Amino acid sequence: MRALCWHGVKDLRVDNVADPIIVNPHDAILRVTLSTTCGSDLHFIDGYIPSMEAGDIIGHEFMGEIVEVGREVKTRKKGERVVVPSFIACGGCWYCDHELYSLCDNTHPKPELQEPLLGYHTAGIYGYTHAFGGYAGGHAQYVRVPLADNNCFLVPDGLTDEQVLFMSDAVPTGYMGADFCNIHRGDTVAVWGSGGVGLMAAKSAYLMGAERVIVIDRLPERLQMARDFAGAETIDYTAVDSVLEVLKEMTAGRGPDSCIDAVGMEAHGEGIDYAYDKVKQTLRLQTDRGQALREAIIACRKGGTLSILGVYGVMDKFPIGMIINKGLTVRTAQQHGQKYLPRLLEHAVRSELDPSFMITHRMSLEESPRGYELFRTKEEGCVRAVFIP
Amino acid sequence: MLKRITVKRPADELYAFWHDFRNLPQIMDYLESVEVNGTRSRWKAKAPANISLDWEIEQVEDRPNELIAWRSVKDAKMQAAGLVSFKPAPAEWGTEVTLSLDFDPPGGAIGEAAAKLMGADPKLIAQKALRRFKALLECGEIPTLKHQPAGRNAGRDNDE
Repeated sequence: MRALCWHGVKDLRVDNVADPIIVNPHDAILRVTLSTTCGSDLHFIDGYIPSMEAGDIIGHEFMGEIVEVGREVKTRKKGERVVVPSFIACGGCWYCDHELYSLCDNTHPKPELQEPLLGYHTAGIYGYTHAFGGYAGGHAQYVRVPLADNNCFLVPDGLTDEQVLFMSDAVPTGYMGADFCNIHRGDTVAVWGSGGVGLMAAKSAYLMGAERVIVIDRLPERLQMARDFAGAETIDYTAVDSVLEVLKEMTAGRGPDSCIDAVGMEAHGEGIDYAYDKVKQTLRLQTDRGQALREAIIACRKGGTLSILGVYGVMDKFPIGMIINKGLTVRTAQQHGQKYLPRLLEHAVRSELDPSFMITHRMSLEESPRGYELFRTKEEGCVRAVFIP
Repeated sequence: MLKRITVKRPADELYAFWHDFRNLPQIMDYLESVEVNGTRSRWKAKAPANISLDWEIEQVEDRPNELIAWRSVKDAKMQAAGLVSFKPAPAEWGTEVTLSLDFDPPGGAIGEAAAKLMGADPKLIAQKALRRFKALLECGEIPTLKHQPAGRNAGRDNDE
C-alpha cells in the first residue's frame, strides 16, 4: 500500500509499504477513507520531539471502513464505517474504567521508552513517535486498529465522512478542554489558538453554556472562522499592545473565568519572552515556546481554571508562582476521546456540531507532503489539509 | 530482585492463570513451551537451533489465591527460582502482584544464549513478564508492533 512516512526533520515521503495484517485477536484493519494533519505532528516534523524512526508512518486523526476483524472482535464488523480516537484504549484497566482513556495502562508496547520522561507510561497513539507507542499511523491506505471494540466508533447514517473525521482528535480534544472548565452560567472562556482544537474548544464552550467565548490568534482567516463557526469574539494579538489589558477591558476588570491553551510548544508571539523561547528552542535547550500558555496564566481571573490542550515537552521558565498566588485550577490531558465520542456523534446528528468547515485543502495521499508543508507554513489559509487515500 | 504491579482483576483469577505453568510462555516471551507433570514441569526456552535450553522445575509452595513458588531441580541445566504472590489492592484497583525471579545460568554457549534471549537483569525480566501478564488479564491481549508496515526493511517491521 501507499503511506506517508517520516524520514527526518522536514522530510516526509509517500512510500510503498506492506499492508497491515491482523496480529492480535481484537484487531481490525481499516481501509482509510479520510485522514488529516494535526498541529502536534509539526513538533516531530520540525524535530522538536525525539524518538521518531526513519520510515515511521505518521498520522493519528483518521476514519475508515472496516475490511477485516480479528477472531475476538465482538461488536464491530466488516463493512462498518467508523471513526477512531487517536489514543488507543484497552477498556479493562483502572484508567479506562475511570474514563481516562489516553492514560490507559495496556496499549503502549514500549513503556520503557516513555517512563524515563514521565515516570509512568501513557496509552499508545498512532503515528506519533516511539516514546508514545510507535504504532503505524493513519496517513495510509490501510491501518491496523488494536482493540477494535473499544476504539472504532460507528458513524451514524446521514453523516458524511467529512463531518465526522475530526471526531478522531480535534473535536474531542477541544470538547474535553471546555469540559475541564466546568462552565457555569455567565462564564467567559478565552481560547488561545484558532486552529482545529481551539475552534472546537470555542464551539464546545458555547454548547456547555458559556456566556461569552473569546478567541486569540493572529491569522485573519482563522479568526474569521472563530467568529463565523463558533460565534466567538476575537482578538488579533498582533494588533493590540496587551492581550491581558484587552481581556480585562472586555470583562470589566474581572478577566476570563477559564482560559484554554490550544496552541502548544510552537507558539508564535511577540516581545522579549517570545525571543527568549525561540532562541532556547532553536538551540534545543528547551523543547517549548510557551508564550500562549504564559499569557493564558496571567490573563485568567483569580481562582479561575486553566485548561491546557497544547502539547508540550520540557519547558523551563514556567510561572508556577502566578498559578499559586492566583489560586488557579489547572486541568489538562491528552484527549480521552472514547469518553466523548458517543455524545459528540449525537451533537452531529442533531446538527449542533459540524466541524467540516475546517477543511481548507482536500488532496490525495500522494500530495500529502505538500499538504503538510501548507499546514506548517499556514499558506493559502490552510487550517486543515485532508487526505483521501 | 522483586517487581510489583497492580492488576484490575480478582486474585483468584490471577492465581488460576499462574497456577497452570503452561500459560507462562504467553507472558515470558523467552519460553517456547512448558510441559507439566504433577508438581514438576519442564521449561523450554526459545534458544537457537543448535542449542537445547530447557530445565526442570518443581513447585515448592502453593497457597491458593496467595502464593506460588518454584525452583529448578538439583541437577537442572539452568538454576532458576521464582515466586509470585497476590494480595488485594485498595479500593477498586484489583490485586497487587509481586514477582521475584532468580537465574543462575550455566557458562559457555548455553549461558550466552540464555543471556541474549532473556536479558541479564532479572528485575527487567520480571517487569516485562508482569506487564504482559497485566495486559493479558485486563484486556485479553498484549500490545505489539509486530509485523506492522513501515517505510523501511522492505516495507514491514518484524521485531516487536
